[in-house]
Amino acid sequence: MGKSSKDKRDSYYRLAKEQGYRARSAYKLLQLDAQFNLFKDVTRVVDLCAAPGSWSQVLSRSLITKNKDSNKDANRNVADAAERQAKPKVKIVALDLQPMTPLPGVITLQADITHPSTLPLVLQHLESDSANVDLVVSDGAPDVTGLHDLDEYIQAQLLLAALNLATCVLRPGGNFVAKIFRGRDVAELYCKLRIFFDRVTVAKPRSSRGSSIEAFVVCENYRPPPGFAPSLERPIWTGPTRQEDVEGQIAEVSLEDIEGTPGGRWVAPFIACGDLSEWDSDATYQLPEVDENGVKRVSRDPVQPPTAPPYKTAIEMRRRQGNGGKIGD
Amino acid sequence: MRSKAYVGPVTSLAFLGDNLLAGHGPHLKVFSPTGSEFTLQWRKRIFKRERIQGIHLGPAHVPDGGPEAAESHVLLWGGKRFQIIPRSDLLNPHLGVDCEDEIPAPDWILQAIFLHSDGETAEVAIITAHNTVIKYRHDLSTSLPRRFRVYPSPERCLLYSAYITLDPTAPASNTLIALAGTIFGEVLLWGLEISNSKIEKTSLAARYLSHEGSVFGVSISPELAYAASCSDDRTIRLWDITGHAGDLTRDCLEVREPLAVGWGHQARIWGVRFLESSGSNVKLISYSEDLTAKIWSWDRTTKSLVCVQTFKSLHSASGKNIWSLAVNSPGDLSVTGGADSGIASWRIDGTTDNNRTGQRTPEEMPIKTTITESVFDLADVFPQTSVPAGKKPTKEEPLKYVALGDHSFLLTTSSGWLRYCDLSKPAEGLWKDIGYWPQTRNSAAFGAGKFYVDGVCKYIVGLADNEGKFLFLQCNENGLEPTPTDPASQDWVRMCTGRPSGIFFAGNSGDGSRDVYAAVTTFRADEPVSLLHLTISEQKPVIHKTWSLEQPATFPFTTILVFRLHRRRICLAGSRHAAFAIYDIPDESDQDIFCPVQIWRHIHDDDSVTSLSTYQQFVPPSDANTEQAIHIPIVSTGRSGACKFHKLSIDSTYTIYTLSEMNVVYPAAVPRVENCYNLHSQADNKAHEILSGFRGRDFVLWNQTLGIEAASLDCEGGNRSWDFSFSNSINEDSGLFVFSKSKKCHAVRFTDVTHNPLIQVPFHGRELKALAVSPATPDPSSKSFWRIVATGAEDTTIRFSYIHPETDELVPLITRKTHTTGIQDLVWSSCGGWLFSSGSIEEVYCWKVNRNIQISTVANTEPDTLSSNSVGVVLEAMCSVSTTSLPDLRVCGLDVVTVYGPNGHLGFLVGMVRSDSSIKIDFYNILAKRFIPLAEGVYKTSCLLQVHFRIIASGAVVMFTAGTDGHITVWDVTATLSARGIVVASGTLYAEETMALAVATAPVKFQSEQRLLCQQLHQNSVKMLTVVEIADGDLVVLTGGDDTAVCVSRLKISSTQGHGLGVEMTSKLVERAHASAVTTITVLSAAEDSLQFISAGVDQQVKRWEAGLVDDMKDASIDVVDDIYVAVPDVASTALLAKRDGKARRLLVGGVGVEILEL
Repeated sequence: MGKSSKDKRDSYYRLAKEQGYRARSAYKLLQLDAQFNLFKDVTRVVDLCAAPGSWSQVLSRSLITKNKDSNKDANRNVADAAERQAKPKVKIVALDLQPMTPLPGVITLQADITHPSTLPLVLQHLESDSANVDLVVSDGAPDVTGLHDLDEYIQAQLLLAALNLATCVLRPGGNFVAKIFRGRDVAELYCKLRIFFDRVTVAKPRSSRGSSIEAFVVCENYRPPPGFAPSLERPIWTGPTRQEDVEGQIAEVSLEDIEGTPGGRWVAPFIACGDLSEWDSDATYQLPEVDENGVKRVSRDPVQPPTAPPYKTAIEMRRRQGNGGKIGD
Repeated sequence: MRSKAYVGPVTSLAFLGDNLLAGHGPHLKVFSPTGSEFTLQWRKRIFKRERIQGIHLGPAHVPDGGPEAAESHVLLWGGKRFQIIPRSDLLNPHLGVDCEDEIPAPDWILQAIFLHSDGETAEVAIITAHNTVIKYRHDLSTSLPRRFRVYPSPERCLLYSAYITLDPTAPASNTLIALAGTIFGEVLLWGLEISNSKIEKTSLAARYLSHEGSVFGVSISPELAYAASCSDDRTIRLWDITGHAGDLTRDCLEVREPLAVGWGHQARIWGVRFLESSGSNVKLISYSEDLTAKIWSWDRTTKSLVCVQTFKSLHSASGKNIWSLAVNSPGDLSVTGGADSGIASWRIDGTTDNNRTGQRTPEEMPIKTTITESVFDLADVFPQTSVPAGKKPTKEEPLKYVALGDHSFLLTTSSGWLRYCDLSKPAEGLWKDIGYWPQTRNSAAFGAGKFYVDGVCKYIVGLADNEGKFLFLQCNENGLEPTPTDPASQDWVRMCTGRPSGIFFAGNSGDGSRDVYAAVTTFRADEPVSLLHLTISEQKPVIHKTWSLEQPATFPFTTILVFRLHRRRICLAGSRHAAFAIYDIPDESDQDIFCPVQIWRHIHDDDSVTSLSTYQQFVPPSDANTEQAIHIPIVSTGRSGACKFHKLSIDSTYTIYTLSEMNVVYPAAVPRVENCYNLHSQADNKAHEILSGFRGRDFVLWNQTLGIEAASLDCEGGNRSWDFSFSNSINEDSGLFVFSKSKKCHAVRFTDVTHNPLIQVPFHGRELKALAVSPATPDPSSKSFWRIVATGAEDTTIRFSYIHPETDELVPLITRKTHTTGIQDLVWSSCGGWLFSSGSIEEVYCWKVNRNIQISTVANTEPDTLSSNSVGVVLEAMCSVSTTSLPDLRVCGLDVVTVYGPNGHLGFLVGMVRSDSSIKIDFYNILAKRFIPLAEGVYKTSCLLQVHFRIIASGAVVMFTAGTDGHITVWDVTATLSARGIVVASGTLYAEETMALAVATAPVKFQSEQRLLCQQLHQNSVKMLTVVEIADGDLVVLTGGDDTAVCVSRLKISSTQGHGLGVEMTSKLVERAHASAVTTITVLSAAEDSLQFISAGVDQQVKRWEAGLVDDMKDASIDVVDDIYVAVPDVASTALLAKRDGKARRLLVGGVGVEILEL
């Protein structure tokens, strides 16, 4: 499908190009923020599985650039200046295993979020020796295989890995936002998250397709259970690391009788976010041939070309061998 | 609710001796070889929620253990669950396994093996998705957590694949070797001392780094010399691991160069296994997302893995993913399990017993359809002996063929010889000369017609010279029949004045008569065609009668079919330009020339009609029964690529001839269809429909019954001289294809054409999006009681199936792949005769579904099962496309209401809602077979998903729409429809016939005041909307949302004075009805004060609800009364089906697969 037809099918793809975002997923975080006011008073934020970096872009624009822009506003200026004096500088740390093009005001680290050595690295870049992060976000997802149970499991493991890191860096009262697949075992994940946060909501931004299984858990007010010792050496719910873990790993986590869930596991309340007047990611739009200035509309190139797919070499091989792009049997 | 049957991905396979174990969802199935096929012995549920993702067999029973020997076990796992079953129980249909006995593991299992499996305390080693090994001791007397022992991982990382084995190089060793494929493309080799001692030794031995994507499959060769891995990067890599593992003290190696790389899969590769790794040879087998399995051989010189065999085309063509594979222990048979629910068997080339040819003992299984080709250079077979003096020797080339059964054929040559070849004869006696007639040189008119004497097939062969004279000979498979006179001195009969262009013998009219009919054509369009009736008299062929048939304009004959009816003959002719013509030839007529009584054009687009035959035995009505109309079943094939099943109806006065299409097939594998055959297979005792034809350079035999290609052969295309025939004996499924290539004669024998390599039939290759059951018919005693399940999927196909009355299994009947996009919605007409389907790019199709297409002249017997040819599906019309500028314009929702005319069914009102927020209402005219736009409008800008029409008691028509904005909108479309002539009469839609044909009027536009109500019920997408009428005429609207809610709304629609309709609605929203999106709702029963319904969602739960109906629904009680998990991810559609007795009901749940629940 060409660029132009994708523009019509996917309004957020087009918007992302027009507004300079590296991926359409930027709007998901923007719409989550509009609903939950996630960026309020946030100065330290960690973006996990960050590549290609559209969420870091949103964080950077919302937490740094926005403050600069608002200098023009005289009234806000005073308040802002006071705020800036009272609060330390905004720190955004973005982590991914894949390399990521640098972004202004964002510290990008190439690191494995599950590895114990990542924690001191993050803390070092936060210029902090304690857990004082306000917000941890993760938009990470595996390449789905089509085996739903496996895909949902791997996604849950990514989320739990992010949760483990979050428990190590979040200040009490901090927030955690992560992508979740609403599949068969999602309720168990809700229960696990609910143990650590006062409020757990599952949110579906209008920029996320209705046909997609993805949604986002917004976990507010971090409050670990008494006696909980966060550790990347001994992460929780990501398989046993020692004999003592077996019992807990076999048992299923379920929270009954919270907020009167009818039978079985607790299910997080759902919120669709983003205004109905915003673009509908499932709708097909007839785009005007010309823009408001009467200039013929041209389909723009993506801000950043997509990351090289793992089968890039395979395609090159085929091209070299000719044979209509197919390798002979 | 209880699960009865399942269709879905086959996620694991293993051979247990000759038997095959298959993991099909949570069920284990056992297939045993019986006769020539694998048959299902039994199935048992192993897990409550998990699919069986792996099967491991414990070592076989050691005989010297004596009768006291402890028993071996089988290990099955899926997700975080496993089961251990005694091996001896596996072949016992009364296996006492219970899914309640499943054992929870502390982590996701990637691979598990027995450390030893004898006795009561089997020990198992498990490698998990976190690269951790856990030992389990199956000792039920200890508490569950204490049965596990966790070993430290040398590197905890997420894996997609793993392989563990006990070090075979050191017998009785406790060293476990693990190979792990990570999600980041690394392959890790490590060892572990798995003794019970407190000291745990583990070490990473090597890291193999060169894959460019996640590693989905890994394997170690039995003697620990090699490892293989396959990946997202579409490669297989072979590694030398000799000496790397086993020594736990060495430092970790880093290897960046594989021994060899294999390129060739077109998509992700899910698994790789070693077939051979001894000596100099390494052979691997892999399976992939691209629907193929491939065998690879290691080429040391080029450091590559060379693909030596590819298995393809047995799984659903437009699907994805082979998920599982097993190879039997002789190593000559492999089986693959697909996402399409299919299990296919394949013969592996180059294995020892694979080279057996020709004869086999009756007990032996046909291994596959075999193809044997013989090539003859006629100049070699018949050296020029007598050349008349002074003349140049004529080059002997094959000219035209007549295949006689499956092993012999006749051939005319360029020089005027008629020759016979019998491939069953020894080499020196293969060929025989029949005659030499120089006057037939280069004559195109040569053919043969079959007749039967006491069940034995014979032929009358017709051969023309270049002046219009014909010679007729009688022969059989064994050559020329002895005749009283010498063939050389036979009479040549003049049939036409010029050079004949062809002689077309009539296809089999199915009546088993001794009559043979042929049409003789010339190169002159104005010369009538001669129709000959040939019989055998005094052991030689004679022309019994001749008629002249006038050729219609642009109607070169290509094929004919003749029926003997009451005191007349009916001749049906097919032309080179897709037309049919019918001639009525009464016995008493003394007409000189017959004109066609009816011509039908464009039956096969504009392409040649290649064959005409009957598709079932046609018994002409007896002479006493001349008052009834006659229905003749006819099958035609064409170069259009179609095989069409028609019903030719003739009224009792022989004046009205109607031709209706009952079933139309366009097999993609045969774009040029030449003929259609019905073969009886001894293996499954079923009739197989085989289509022959050409695809590019290949001659193809397509098994329409199985939906697979039986065989194909590269003959360099169909534009050459050729002939094909099947064996004349009823139980033989072999055929002979003879053709000329490079002036040589090629004879190709196909044997075991009906061989069925499918162990389990394939279903949709991708997830279902729509599922619709044809409506119940009022008369449950009629054959049409069978309710047809139509399913539409992301794989763009629509499948028609039925639920087997005893087993409750979904049995596929036929498939149509005409949509080019994933199916969005399917709706049956209320009569069950039509199905409407929608997809993207505005595809909306109307299908005519014909029941009982076998026209029976015998007593109306009820079939025990439906067969693939008892239902016919014809694409009748496509809705016109309104724009080309929106390439992704999806028609997300459809609704269909019957419109009656003065004489019954006139057509249907078809509502369509689309992703650009537009609504279209068309009228589908069943006589004109076309969509006529009636009205159109736009909702807002958000995508619409649901549309539903309702005729209300006051005589108004309302339309419900809903979409991604969570709103439900009620429209009054009464005036819109009446403006186009459709009105409500006694609770149904009615229109005059004249209206139905009015086309020219522009569609009416919806006005915003037609919206009676627009109210938000859900936060976002309304995934399901259904409307029921309760006793007092009020409506209840049930909606399911992506917001996990179910909403029950009660509507009172009333006429307000002079202001049209008024709507009052009260709703009760049940939030968090499911843990994720609610995608379907099915109403079970609706009464004045209560409602029963079933909801299902992406959380794979199916819930049964009871709702009390009160005036203000806010006060209503809505409760779950039953809840069940289904093994169907991505549930998209459900449908209810009543069993034959009208009491038992089944719920079909469709998504990635289908599960059938008993209610």
